[in-house]
Amino acid sequence: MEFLKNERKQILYSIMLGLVGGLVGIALFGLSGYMISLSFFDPPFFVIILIIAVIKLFGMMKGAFKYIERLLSHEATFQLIGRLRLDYFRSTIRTGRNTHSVKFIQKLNQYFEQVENYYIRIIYPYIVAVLISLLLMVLSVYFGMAFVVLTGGIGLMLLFVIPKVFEGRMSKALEAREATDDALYSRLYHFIHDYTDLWVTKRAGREEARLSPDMERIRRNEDKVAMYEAAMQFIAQLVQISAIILIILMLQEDTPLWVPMVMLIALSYFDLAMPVMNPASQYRRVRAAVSELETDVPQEETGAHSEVTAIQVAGLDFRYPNASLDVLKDISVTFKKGEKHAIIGSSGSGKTTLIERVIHGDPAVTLYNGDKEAGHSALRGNASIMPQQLDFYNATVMDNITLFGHVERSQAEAENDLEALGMAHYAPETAIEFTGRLSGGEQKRLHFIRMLAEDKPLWIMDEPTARLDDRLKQKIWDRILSKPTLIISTHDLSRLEAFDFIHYMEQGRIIESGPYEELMQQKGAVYQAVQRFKDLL
Amino acid sequence: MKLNMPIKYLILYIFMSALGVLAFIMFGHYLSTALEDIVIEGAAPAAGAMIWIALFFILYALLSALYKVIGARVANSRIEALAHRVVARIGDQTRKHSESMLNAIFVHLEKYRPFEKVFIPTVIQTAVKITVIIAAMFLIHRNAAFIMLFTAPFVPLYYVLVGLRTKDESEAQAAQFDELGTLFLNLIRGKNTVKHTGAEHTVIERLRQYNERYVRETMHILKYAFQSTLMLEFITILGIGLIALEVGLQIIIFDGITFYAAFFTLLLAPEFYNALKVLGIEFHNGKLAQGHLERIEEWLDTDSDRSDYRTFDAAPESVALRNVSIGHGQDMLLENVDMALPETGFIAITGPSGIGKSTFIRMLLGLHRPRKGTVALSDEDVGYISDEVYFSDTTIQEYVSDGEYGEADVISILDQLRLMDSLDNLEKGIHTPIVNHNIPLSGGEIVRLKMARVLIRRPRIILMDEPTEFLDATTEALIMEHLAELKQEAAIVAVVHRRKLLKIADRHYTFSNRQITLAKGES
Repeated sequence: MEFLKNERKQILYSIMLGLVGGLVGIALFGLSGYMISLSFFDPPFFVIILIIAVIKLFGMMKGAFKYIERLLSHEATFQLIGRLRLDYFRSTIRTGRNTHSVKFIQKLNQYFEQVENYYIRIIYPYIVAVLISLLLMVLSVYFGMAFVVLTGGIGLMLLFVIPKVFEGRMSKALEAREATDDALYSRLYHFIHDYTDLWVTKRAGREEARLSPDMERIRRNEDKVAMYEAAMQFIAQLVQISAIILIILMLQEDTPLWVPMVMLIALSYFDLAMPVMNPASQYRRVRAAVSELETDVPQEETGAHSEVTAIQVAGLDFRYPNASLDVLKDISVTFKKGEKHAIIGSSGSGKTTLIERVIHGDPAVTLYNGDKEAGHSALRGNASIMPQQLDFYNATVMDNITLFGHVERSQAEAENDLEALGMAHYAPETAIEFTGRLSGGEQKRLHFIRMLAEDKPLWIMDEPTARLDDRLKQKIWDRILSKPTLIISTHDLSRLEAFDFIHYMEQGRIIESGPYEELMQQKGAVYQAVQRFKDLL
Repeated sequence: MKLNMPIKYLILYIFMSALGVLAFIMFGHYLSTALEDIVIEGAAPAAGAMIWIALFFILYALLSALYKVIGARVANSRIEALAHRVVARIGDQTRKHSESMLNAIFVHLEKYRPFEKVFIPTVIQTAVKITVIIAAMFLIHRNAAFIMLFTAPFVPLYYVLVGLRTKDESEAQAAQFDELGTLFLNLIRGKNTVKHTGAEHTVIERLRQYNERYVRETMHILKYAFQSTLMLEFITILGIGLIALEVGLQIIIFDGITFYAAFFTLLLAPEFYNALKVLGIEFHNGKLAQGHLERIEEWLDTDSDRSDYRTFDAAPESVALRNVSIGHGQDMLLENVDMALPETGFIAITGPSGIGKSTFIRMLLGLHRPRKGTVALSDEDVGYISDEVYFSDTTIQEYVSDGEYGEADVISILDQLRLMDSLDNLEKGIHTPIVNHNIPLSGGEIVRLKMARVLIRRPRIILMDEPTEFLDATTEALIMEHLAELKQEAAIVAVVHRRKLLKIADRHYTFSNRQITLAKGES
């Protein structure tokens, strides 16, 4: 709720409007009931006309209130969500959260939808319903204490007891659902990514059948939730019929004329309060989702402007969380300003992980500005980076190149770069999507253009020439090698001799390191790798 | 909008809804009778009447609950079946679009669910309600029935006059709405690049502007939606007001109505108009849900013939192709190829990238149906070696042995391939459970593991896609050595990228101009 403080005015108005609207609605029904009773006892004609006119007016008012209330409450909620987004983005960028998995993005999306529900479907209607119940209780003093108790009892049942009884079950069911979704997700992911192998070994059918229990569990879970919803409504309706009968019994003797009025008031109160029960029963679960998004925003790192003269990796071991093998073992290497380093080795030897450790920071990785240590954020001011996983955004090519105007690049320069790298079919103003349209090679090239625009002295790249044809490979190498300082992991050994230092990795270790000529004379792993590269057809 | 649901369910829904409305009308009948007694006669209602009131209301409540449960059950099992149909489209190429497939199952299917679970039952229920109430009104108070009949068309009329104009606009904006939502998500996803380039402040500023636009445009869309609701509300109020006016006039001036009929009418009128309102609102929701169904249907429309087109009667040849043509999308990769491969030996295939070598191997694996011609192999048991793997829910022991060989056999093979050193480091060795690919193996180790499966089973046909990325020296030497040994008793068909492997080739085919030409060896 602390997040609502900026929208306080809108919230207050919308709750007030909701309250007045609800009361007008209830009055509307009461008046209709009273009118019928009254009519049969020959009131003056104008009274009836007046009542009907008032009823209509009330109806219109109720509609209009509802309209304004919804506009206000939605606007407040969306503004709140907007702020939540900014904070979430800020905190994401400043923490090491891995955001590349589809599942994570899906969950995040779900959470944001739930926030919307939380305020619009749970909090507002609930506050309005509680306030109306309280007001009705006050008004029912007029009918006697028994009615105060009756109104209070109904309110308590509908707004508190029933949702509370189901809250635990509901949140258990929803939690179970989430767990099943996660399990099915990883099974399905496995099935999709391992399909070829499963087919070849004739296990595809078996694996597919193993997806069924989870899908069945989802169905049963959905059935259960529907059951709870129906049960909640049924119990509320039992309360409702009890109320109807109690009203008849309590009023019929002394004030029979009030019966239709009170009856219709009661019916309309139920119409208003019953829809609140179901969302209210999901409060706990949704609240949990909301708190996932209400993250603390860490302080921004400073020192991005300090110069970097050396990057030292000392005794780096690394294992991915949940993995059972180390991917990097005791890596020590120093990359100095003005040196060109190539890291080679077979796929899976740890090249990408090493590059990633350097990019993201690690206790074993230290940046130096001369003799002084520089913070890891200094990398940002000095280096352009091409990680394994490239990021693009639903925006124009130009916005993607300049990161929404962060980097200066003229239209003509961007066009030249696109042209030079065989991507003239994209204009700077072409809108692209982060996935789908761009092929692997196009992604590499577009990111490369981004790095050209950044124009920084140190380039750290993972597989810069993969998935490109030979002509483009050489063009890209020419530009890369014109940079003074390089840390590059590559399978493409065609320009290896242009590097100052070569590091050969195998099974998470650097097994050979040194200048090109020296290693070629040694005839070790690098020499053999170059021979094998030449052997390629 | 099409209610795509089997007719038997529709009939069941109609029947149950009708029963529910009838129970409600009976409740109204007894309630009105009882109130007439109280208000007009000043007498206490009969105990019998009170019991009927309670009974019919409980019946109505029970039927509504049952209706909800049955509607949900029908929908949920149909959604489950739909999920199975989507999953059945998964093939060996799906991993390239795995995000889209996972979205279809986890997002679009879930967003479509309310259409079957809520929309269809609600539409049927309200339609039945409207009909039954009007019919009942003819019996209770005919004039009110006429007023309902006259005012009801205003709701669809409103939709035709105002709704249609705004519909296109609101749909276009709904699409934009979706787009806006994804920019935030892909900024979150692509936060690393934002961080590396130090563009945090610029991007946050952009996100702020975009948020403002998002709120503005969303509110614009919502204004339309809320205006529609407001108009429906006004029509409802007008209708109920007209009925109330008519009832009032009847009572005072014409004396032509009983209390019973008056109360009953005023009880049913809101039910009637609310039902109309619900129809209007649901129409909008239904439209949105159907957009998601379309995304699911895109997957259902993809070709996914998983039946095996191969025959296994090629012996004594290992592979026999007759008049085979392979296509990929618009392109033809091979045309009218005949080919017969010997029972044993190493058959190398080369050619420029993108010409169809891998597709050819996939065709032999049974994963790419040729446009025409017949594919025959000598044996169903085919070994396959590549550098791609995704482990989950298995162990190395299980993976290599496929449940058919003991630990000693597996270890002996893994030892030969020099894999035991790294596998011994695992907590439980080759029995360590692997979940979600949490064993980071190198490309060379993956190839050797695949080789291990082939060595243990010794199939008579081995297909291989040599990795283009270079392998470590150990792997390469081991592969050479074992291929040379395996080719003595099996046919190895391999896409080859290295000259060295050509040395052990008994035959060498090259791909060009949609034909396969023999470059070395005898046919």
